This record gives sequence, structure tokens and C-alpha cells, in this order.
Amino acid sequence: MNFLKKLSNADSLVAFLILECLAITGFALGGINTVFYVIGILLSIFTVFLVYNRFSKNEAKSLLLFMGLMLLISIFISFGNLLRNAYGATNVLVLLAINAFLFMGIALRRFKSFAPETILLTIGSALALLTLVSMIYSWTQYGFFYALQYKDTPIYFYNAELFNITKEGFWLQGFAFKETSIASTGVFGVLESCFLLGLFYVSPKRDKIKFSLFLVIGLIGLIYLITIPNLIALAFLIPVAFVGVIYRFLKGKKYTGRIVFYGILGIAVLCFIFFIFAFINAKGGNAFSSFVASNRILNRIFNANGWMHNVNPVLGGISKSAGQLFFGLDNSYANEEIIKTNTKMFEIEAIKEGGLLAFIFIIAFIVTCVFIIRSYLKRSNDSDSTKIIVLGILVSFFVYSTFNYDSFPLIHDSGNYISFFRSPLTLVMLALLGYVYTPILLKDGEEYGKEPSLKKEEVTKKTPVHDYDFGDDDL
Amino acid sequence: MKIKSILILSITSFMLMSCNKTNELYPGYAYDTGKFETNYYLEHNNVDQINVSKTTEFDASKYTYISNPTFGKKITGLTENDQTYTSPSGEKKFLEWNIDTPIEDYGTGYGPTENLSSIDDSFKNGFLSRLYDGRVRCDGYYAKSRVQLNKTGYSSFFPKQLVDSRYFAMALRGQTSCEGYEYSTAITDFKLTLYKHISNSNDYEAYVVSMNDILVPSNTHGISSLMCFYFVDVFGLNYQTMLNGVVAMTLTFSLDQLISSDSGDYEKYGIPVDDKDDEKHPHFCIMLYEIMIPRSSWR
Repeated sequence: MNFLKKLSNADSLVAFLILECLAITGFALGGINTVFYVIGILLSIFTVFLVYNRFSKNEAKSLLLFMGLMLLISIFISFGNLLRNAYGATNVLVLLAINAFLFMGIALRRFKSFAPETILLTIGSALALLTLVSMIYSWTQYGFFYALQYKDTPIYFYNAELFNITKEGFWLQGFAFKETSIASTGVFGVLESCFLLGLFYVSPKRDKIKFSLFLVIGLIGLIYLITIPNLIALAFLIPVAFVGVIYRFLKGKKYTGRIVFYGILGIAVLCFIFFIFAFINAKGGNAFSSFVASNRILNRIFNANGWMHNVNPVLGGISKSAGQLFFGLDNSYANEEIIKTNTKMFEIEAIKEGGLLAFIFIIAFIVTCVFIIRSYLKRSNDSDSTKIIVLGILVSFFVYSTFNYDSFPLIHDSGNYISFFRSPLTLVMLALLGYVYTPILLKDGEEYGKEPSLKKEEVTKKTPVHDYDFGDDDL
Repeated sequence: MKIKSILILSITSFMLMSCNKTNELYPGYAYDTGKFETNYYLEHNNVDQINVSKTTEFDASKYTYISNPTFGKKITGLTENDQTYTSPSGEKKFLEWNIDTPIEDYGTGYGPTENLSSIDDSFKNGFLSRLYDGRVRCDGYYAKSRVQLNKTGYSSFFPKQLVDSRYFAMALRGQTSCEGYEYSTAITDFKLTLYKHISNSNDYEAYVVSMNDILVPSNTHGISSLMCFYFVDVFGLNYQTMLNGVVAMTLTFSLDQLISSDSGDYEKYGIPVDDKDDEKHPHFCIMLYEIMIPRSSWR
């Protein structure tokens, strides 16, 4: 017990180490994922000792639901058929690391050692530094606006293979710059651009440093996207701007939050229903698939469009056997073409890796996240600038990964499959999601983060003071 | 003042821009169709502009071999040692001509083991990398693995300067644009020019190697043959000194005669010519799969 008491004084140190870990992971130093996994796991073990007795009964229940879902996802992702043999014992680290990063984020908020802006700026700076270094090198090798400049002569040859210059850029992968698809690096630009949303709430005169940092990080992301130009990634800034505008101008208006909340929930439910029908159709040999094939409109929706053209082989592939249905595609020669198909949707890639249950748990997790983010916006004392940036980052990350995720980002090593949940950026985003985590099973008026073992005065002392009055925000 | 300096420094740093990646770009699907008449590679990449101050001619006809050995057989003209791979552990493996496993590791195929890209990564850049990648036949890659030549041939600078080498080889076959010449033989004259940079000058010395009356298997459905000669046979004992500093090459050819393996209804199909501008006759081209200077070193 003495050891645990001593540990209770280590909040700041562990919080600092977590931030360091997130920054290094965000910078993807060396692409040495296993090292990030191990550091994350070790830190979260310390963190568990520090915070295990700081959750109330309701908080613990809510946490169990949240972490439980992620645990289920991580089991299927780690030990799914596709990558189980390729990664061997590392899969255990993957299982632990996915949960560890999520938990580190949760703990970071409980520690209250650092202001929320510091946490955001640490992550943002790491991502921006990586983008800046890669962007400058790309400029020297490709020039400015090369995707437009060379759109009529986009082809070059490397090692006898044909490549399209407008779809790639140099990106720092560890200690070497590698030709990387701009679909995979565009997400960095989008995430960094979200920092510009914070400028709505920060005064350039009163808070010069914070304003400048948000501006610099945001501009690095935006300039990166514009100087290629990565038009698809730039299009993803539209939902970000949409979120920003709603939050800035409609926050607090009656029903706004509810409309947005139920709108998102409705879209999620519709997507899920659509997926069930898509799965039945892709399985083939049934009345529904015959009906779809015979109907012009349904055929176009379910078969003859770019997205479903890539998704259907995956859905058809897993339905070939029970083992593949529940644990993902076998890494076999028969599935080679399906595995190589870039579906661009991380949820479908999760089906490849872990099967149908992984997908269902991910959808359940996303829906839970919608509730959690809502709860965060309602209950958190964080400043509006923090909330809007966090909201922008999480929304854009998951929206981008749903429509433009590239599972084969290394252009010249096209056989290298990069798993969404195993990548450093996803781990950092999970930590941010953990930070946002606000229990959804709290009673009205119950405060998240009120530590049972501490007196009220001590809690008040530890809580950072913010300038903003949040009122009864509907969001 | 400070901001000005930073701005000037930032702008100056962009003078380092080389735009390496945009040096050699093509329109979509360039050189990617099987119809060679529309996809001749006619480039001489400024090699034809260099200043040649001395030319030495060699006749390599009697030292040049061409063969397409069946599985397990030796390539004609190569020594046993040059068709054997010795692994770092000392294990010896026969390099099979018919194994065309591309790139990864060394493979046990002759092409993927002895190709130039395996010797130096700089050979992986550009369109002509398909001549250095180790794929010595179509093997399912069709037009993606070859360069289609008219009699005017092609030239290119090597990405580095040759230091030493023992023999020269190329994988190739003939092809006509018309039917009627299945598994025929093209009697062809080749001219290979190697350009050596003369140090402390802008001049080059050219070694023109003629290989006449070579029997090139044609219309072989993707199966190529290896044509090779040893430098020592052609240049003499001083060949290493001569090769040291070679930076570019030109390859041209002329078709002497095309002999069909069957009776061949020439009236019906026409007589192919090696001139791309000839509109009256069907065309003949050399499909070049690989340029090999095995076990060479570069700087």
C-alpha cells in the first residue's frame, strides 16, 4: 500500500510521460510501432495503479462499457486471421497497446496535471512537425502544386513499375523519406487544419501565444494540403468547417444539439442497415441479390459504383466460411486479390482483418463515442477552443478514415498492408478519444472526475480555472 | 529585420529544389499497350548530343552468342561460373534462365539475380528501369516488361559510371506487326556503342561494337533469348581500362532477313521492314527485355 501511496504523488510525472509518449508516437519516429506499443503499455500499467480507485461506481460502469467494447475490437484486430501469423507474438502487444493508449487518454484527463490546451498542443505540434519536415522535402523533390502542374503527364516509372506522381508525396517514415500516398498523409493536414477552429475562441491580443500556436499548427496542415494540392483531403475540411460553424454559431440554441446528435445517430443506423443488405447481396446466390441485379437503381447502388465495387469482394470473401466470417480473411493465395483491394474504409478493412464481429463492435463503439462526445461537450469544463478542436479532430479523423483510408500507403512497397488500428496515428487518436471520454451513465448533476477519496476542497484546488461560462449548452 | 532575414533564408532554401521526381514524366499509360507500332521507344536522351572525339570500332560477331535454353540447360556462351550463384554461406546455385521471379531477394533465376537493379538502386529510376529489373521475358507483364525498338534504336546515360565488368548481355526477341511469321528467325545486325568520358574534358570516346548476322528468334510469344559477349574477347586484355568510365550506350539494329519457320505466304502477309516510317509494309521491331552488365561495379 505504501507503494501505491507513493505513486499517488506521481500524477504529474506520469502525465508528462504520457504526453511524451503521445508526441513521439504522433511523430511516428522510426515507424517502430512495437516500441510505441511497449512504452504505451508500460505507462498505462503505472497509470492503472494511480487511478484505479478514483472512479465512482457509475463512472466505473460506464468505463467498463467503453473499454469493454474496445477490448473486444482489439481482440479481433489482434488475433484476426489476416495478420495473426504475420505478426506472431507482437499481436499480444497490439491487443494491449490499443487499450493502453485509450486508457492513457482517460487517465490524462483524470490527472489534471496539464491544461487541456497543453495536451492538444503537444499532440498537434508532433503531427505538425512531421508534416512540416515531410512537406519541405516534398517541395524540393516535386515542386509546388505538382498534382495540378503534371496532371496531363502524371506517369513515372520506378523499378519497371508505373506510378502516378499526382497521388504521392514524400513523407518521413522513421529516418527516411519515402514515397507515400497523399490519401494516407492527407489526414495529417486535415487534423492540423482543425486547430484553426480554435481561433474562433482565442483572442490574438489577450492570448497571443496560444493564438499563434493554433495558427501555426493549423496553417502547416492547410499549406501542406494546398501546395500539393490534395483536393480530396481539402474536401474533408468541409465537414470540419461545418462542425466549427455549428458549434460556434448555433451552440446553445434550443434543439440544435439534439438535431445534430440524432442526425449523426440516424446516419449511423442507416449505414448499418445498408451494410446488412450489402452483405446479403455480396454473399450472392439468394433472392435479394437476384432482385438487386434485376433492378437498375438497386444494382447501381449495391454493385455498380466505385465504393461497393471494392467492398463487395471483401463481404463476399468472408462469407465463404464460418472461420472467415467471424475472424477475418485467411491470408491465403485464394484471397490475395481481395486483400490487395483498397476499400478506402477502415471499417471494411477491419472486416478483412477481424471479421464481421469486429465490424459490429466498431459500429457499436462509434455510436458509443457519439454519446461520449456529446457528454463531453455538455459536462466538461474545458475551454470552447479545446472542445471545438478536439471535436474537429475526432470527427475529421473518423470521417476521413471512413472514406479515404489507404491501407497500402507506401507507394514503392505496394505489398505492405498497414492496419488501421495498428498505426501510430490511430493510437494517438484513441488516446484523444480517451481524453474526451466522459461517462454516459452518470446521474444528472453527478460530476465526472470527482474523486471519491479526496475532499471537495482538494478537488477544487486541482481543477484548472477557465474563463468561460458554459451555461446550459445544448451541444 | 529579423523577419526579413527569416523570409530571405526560407526563400533561398528553395533554391535547393531539384524536382528530382518530375524529371521524367509521361502521359497516362505511356508505353503500356501491346501494339508496338504505336509504342516505339525512340529516345536518345541527349546521348546523341555529346561530343565524341575518338571512335574505335570492334567486330564482335564471332564472339556473340544467342540462346534460349530449355529448363536446366546452360546459356550458350556463358561460363559455368557466370551462371552460378554463390550465396554468402558458400552454397552454389545454378541460375536458371527460365525462372523469372521478379526482384524480391535474388531468386534462383538468371535474370532476377544478375540484373543491374540488384547491383545498384540507381538503376531503378525512370522508364528504362524495365531494362534493368531482371524480368527477361513477358511472363504475364506483357508490354510492361519490355522496350520496343525501331532500327534507330535508343540511347541512354547510365545512372552511374561503370568501373569494371566482364561481359555484356541482353534479353530480346523479334516481333512483326503481321501474322505469318510464328517462331521465325530474324537475321539481324546490331550495333552497340559505349561512351567513355575522357577525364578533365567535355569529350567522350566511343567504342562501337558490331554484332552482325545474329539469328534472333522472332514472334516467340513472349519467350526471349539471351545475347551475350565477353569484353575480353572483343576489346582484348586491356578491356578493364577501356570500360572504366563508360557512362552511356546506344543500341541500333538493322534487319537483314526474316526467315519463317513454315512456308510463309509472304504475298498474303507482306514482308516486314525495320523502318517505322514505311507505310507500305508491315513492321519488324526488336523487343528488348533486359540490358545486363552482370557482376559489374559502378561509381
